[in-house]
Amino acid sequence: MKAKLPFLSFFFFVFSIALAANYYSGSSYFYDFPNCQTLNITMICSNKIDLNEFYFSPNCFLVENQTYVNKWVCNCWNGYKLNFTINPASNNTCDIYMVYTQEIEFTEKREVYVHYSETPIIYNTTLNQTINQTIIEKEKIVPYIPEDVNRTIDELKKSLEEQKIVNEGNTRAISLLMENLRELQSKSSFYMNLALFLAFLASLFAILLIGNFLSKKINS
Amino acid sequence: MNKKLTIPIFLILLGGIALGALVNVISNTLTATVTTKIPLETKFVAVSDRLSIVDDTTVTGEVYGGDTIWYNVTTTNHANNPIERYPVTIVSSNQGLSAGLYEIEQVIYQDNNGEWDITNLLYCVNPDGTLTPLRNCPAKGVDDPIELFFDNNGDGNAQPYEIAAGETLWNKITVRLSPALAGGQTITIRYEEHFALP
Repeated sequence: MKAKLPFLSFFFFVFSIALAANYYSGSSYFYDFPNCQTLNITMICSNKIDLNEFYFSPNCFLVENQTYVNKWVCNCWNGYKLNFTINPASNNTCDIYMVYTQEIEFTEKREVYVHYSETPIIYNTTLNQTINQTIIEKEKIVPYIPEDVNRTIDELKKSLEEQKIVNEGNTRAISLLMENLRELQSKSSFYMNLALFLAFLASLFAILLIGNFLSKKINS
Repeated sequence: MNKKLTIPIFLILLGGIALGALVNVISNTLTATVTTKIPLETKFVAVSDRLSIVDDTTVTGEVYGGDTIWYNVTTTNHANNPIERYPVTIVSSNQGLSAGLYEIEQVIYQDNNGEWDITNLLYCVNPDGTLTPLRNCPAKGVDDPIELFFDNNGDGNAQPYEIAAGETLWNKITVRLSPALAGGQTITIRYEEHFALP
């Protein structure tokens, strides 16, 4: 059996796009998020942040309100358009960090080759195990939305370890079955050879008997 | 007898292909540095004789009793949203201002929609943001400014004026000074847009 281990990879790359533009107080600015699962916004300002000086919408909530730092959490979705509105009286300079996660689905091709001899049960068992394994993986991963990158990496590592253990178990089971099969093969080979040898002896004995009978007949 | 025996062996090769849809999560960071700019740009664009423009929001000049002075102001909203604002005029004199501001005899306001005598709709802004009718305003000392607001509906409660996104408004204020004004005093006029009073 040759089976590639399921390929699980977690891409974590951060790229920054510095947006340089004039931001007039009293204006609204929009940011598109074609794919968005979570969005966390941190604002760090050089002057004190006044009440309602900045506002993010829709579905955004101010979760931390410090003198110079504001943190917002937005419940975003694919195709989300973030509205950032500045109060007309605002006079500040701020760095804004919008950290968002997006889910990307891709298709991975896996090839499983099953080599078996004689007993069809081995084939069925092996194939079912492989297919079930694929389904379990998908169920584990598809609904998963990480909130914290480190936790995500740890859990994915754990998932990889679990799969490694499952695959090692499968490999051992297959080896055992193949060993049994080879033993059966060896035994059947021995008995068939023995049967043929006995048949050969019986044929030889019959020929001798027939020869003996014919010689007696000729002599009489 | 040498007889070669063969045992049939069935060899079947099966190939299976499984397609697994995997979902990975990508985390990105979008950063922006925001320096906010005042959205309303106010500018004195023309003034009468006796007055001269000091900067965009300030004019000054030496005036005499019975003079009529005027100035023309524009305001542009650079924001992409409408803004409610309180335009105020801040006046001071090097000889001070009398109680009730009787140095000012009449004020005419003009814009795209026409012109009106707004003398009785002028109020001075108190430190707490409330309004006091012009003729009840307190006296001011030398170079001590007084803040005036044009209350359009005359109810004595300051209401904001809205300027649309990207809009530029202009107005012309014409002031007729009292003949009783002591001659040769220097006045300074500032025009400001506030987002709240005071």
